Amino acid sequence: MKLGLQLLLHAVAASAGFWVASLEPPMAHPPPLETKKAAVVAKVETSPRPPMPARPLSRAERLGLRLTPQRWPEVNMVIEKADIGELPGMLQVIFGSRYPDVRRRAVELLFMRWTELDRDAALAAMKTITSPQLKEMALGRILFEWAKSDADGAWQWVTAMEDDSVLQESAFEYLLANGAEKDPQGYAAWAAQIEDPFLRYKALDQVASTWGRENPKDAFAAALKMNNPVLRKRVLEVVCYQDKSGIDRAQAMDLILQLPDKAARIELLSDDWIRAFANDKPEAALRWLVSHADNPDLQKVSGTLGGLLGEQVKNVVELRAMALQVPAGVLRDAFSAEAAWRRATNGGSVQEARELLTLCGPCIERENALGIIEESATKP
Amino acid sequence: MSPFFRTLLTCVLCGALGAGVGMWNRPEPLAAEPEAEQKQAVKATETQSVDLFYEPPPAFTSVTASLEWVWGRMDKGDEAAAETLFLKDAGTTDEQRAQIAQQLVQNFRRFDPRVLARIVLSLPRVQTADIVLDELISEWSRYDSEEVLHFLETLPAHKVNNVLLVRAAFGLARLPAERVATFAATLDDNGRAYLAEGLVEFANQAGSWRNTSAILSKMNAQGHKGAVSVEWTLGVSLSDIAPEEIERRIASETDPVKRDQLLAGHAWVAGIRDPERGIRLDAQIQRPQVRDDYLVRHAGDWLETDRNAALAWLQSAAAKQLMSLEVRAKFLKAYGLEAAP
Repeated sequence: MKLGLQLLLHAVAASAGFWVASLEPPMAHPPPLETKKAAVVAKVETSPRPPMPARPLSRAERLGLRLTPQRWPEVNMVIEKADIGELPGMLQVIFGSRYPDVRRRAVELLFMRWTELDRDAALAAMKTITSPQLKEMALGRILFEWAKSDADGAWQWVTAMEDDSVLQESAFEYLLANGAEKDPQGYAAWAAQIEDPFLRYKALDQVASTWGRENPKDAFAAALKMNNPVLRKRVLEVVCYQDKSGIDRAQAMDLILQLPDKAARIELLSDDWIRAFANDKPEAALRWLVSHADNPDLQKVSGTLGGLLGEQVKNVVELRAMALQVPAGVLRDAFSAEAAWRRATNGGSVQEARELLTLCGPCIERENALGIIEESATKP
Repeated sequence: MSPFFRTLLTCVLCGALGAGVGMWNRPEPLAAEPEAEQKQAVKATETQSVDLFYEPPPAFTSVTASLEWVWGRMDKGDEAAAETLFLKDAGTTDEQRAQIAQQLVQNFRRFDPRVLARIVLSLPRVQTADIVLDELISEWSRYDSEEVLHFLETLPAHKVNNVLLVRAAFGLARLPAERVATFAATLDDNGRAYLAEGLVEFANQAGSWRNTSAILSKMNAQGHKGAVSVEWTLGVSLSDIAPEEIERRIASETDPVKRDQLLAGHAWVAGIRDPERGIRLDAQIQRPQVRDDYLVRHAGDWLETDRNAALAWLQSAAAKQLMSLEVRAKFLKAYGLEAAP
């Protein structure tokens, strides 16, 4: 009996101490907002603003105050400390932000936190979002975290999704963007057998982007042997613009010239590779063209290079000397005609353009360039 | 020590232990920062109102200067600065106002899109105004389809132009088919035709083909003069990403008008990439004007890609069957050659 009383006394003392210490400290009320000046704001401001509560702000409310482009850097500090119970309220606050870009980035951070704490709850919350873009962003973050520890599970969950094809396709793209480099051949084979042509393209495109960006040398070597023309084209396009790939552009272009599909090699060289080469090393690009001047496939490539140099090279004497390095005939015609009209339409003198055009023999490129040059001559 | 004092002492110790646990368990101290924050928020609102009231935008000197004023005000927390600029008559011409609005739209990420929308809709009817509205819809569609749909639903009918509908399709393609179809029902045939064109155009970039197909099947878009048909746009899209698929669709299409549209879209893209192949496809197009236009375009492309092969074709019997003497003569004349009848 005495022992029980002692225990009860000690328990009461401990509880009292706990209760007193758990209380929040009192806070002074903030000044009222309703002033004449605030009323002036209200006339200008037609978007609704949440009223300022006269009590301590919750973390969600503090988040709300930061959801502007100006205060964006502080958002992460609030979200990363959030407890699981605070996240639903924060999500509602984010929905209330007037700035779509801020909403999107905040949703990304919030769902990263949510997935860390409870992935199933995050998935359930994601499904309540009505905006397709925010939903895609939320699921993207969940999958990013999920796939780190269980990529197969994430893939299975997305594959089984049947009620939202838009969300499912964005999820496939997200998973490929964050994992295709681990087994690009395998993912490419999976993508290639998709029946829906649009989804197939999106998947192949994502594999090509990830592979070409993460491992350009391997991707380039593999692309040259590919049978799938869509994947090959996309991989070679992506690799072309990886400046730190360590791939020698001149050697790469020699290999592209050996592709079996003539239209594909002309398109790749003129639309991408010669452009990237000329922007990086214009003189080397010209040397490459001149060293392949006997190749009839390079007419369009020569025109593209002429156009780029026509804009880049400021000294017309130097530009003319470059054109004369290209052997007379089809390639020089294409080069000089494109260089001439590009010069005329990019701030160069019309007279210089006309002189450049004298290097071009009779051909359709000359006719087209002449029309553009003379039209630009009539403009002030 | 007497038993009483011993009990008292241990009770105090238990109370202190409980208080320690309670301190640890207390919710994170929201009061310290929020108080400052509360004041800051109030101050920001007051500052905004004071400045709006007492600091009108400066007289117009240049678009750049006006924008710098807006950015400066926004950096100080004045979120309404852009709108304030447009509410005041700062001596700008209609075109200058449109140019400022265009720059604001290009900085979409810094704004509430409804503010931008109000600014854009306040512009006078100059050509740039329509372009700015189209640009706003393009940007907004990347971020929030629902808001764009709501905005379009409230937009005056004369502002819902064809280009705008094509651009809005980038966002609308992600929404449930029923919602888009309901909106489409409020448009006229012309508007529906342009919306359908945009939905197919963006099918490999936004939404899903399953959803786009569902929208198209519910909205009953008919071809309309001026608008590009769904079939032509589909031909263009698939020619690049799945040429075998478009050829299968052309072969299985029983409606001759739709078949010709699919074929024309496919031929157009295939011919830009591979003029020789494009000319073979052009030859199968049934509508003479379309066929002739495409042949001219692709023959020109071929001459710029593979001159010798194209010249040989232009002088061949096949070219004589497909192209008029006048067109062939024009091409060949550029090379000092004559066309045989």
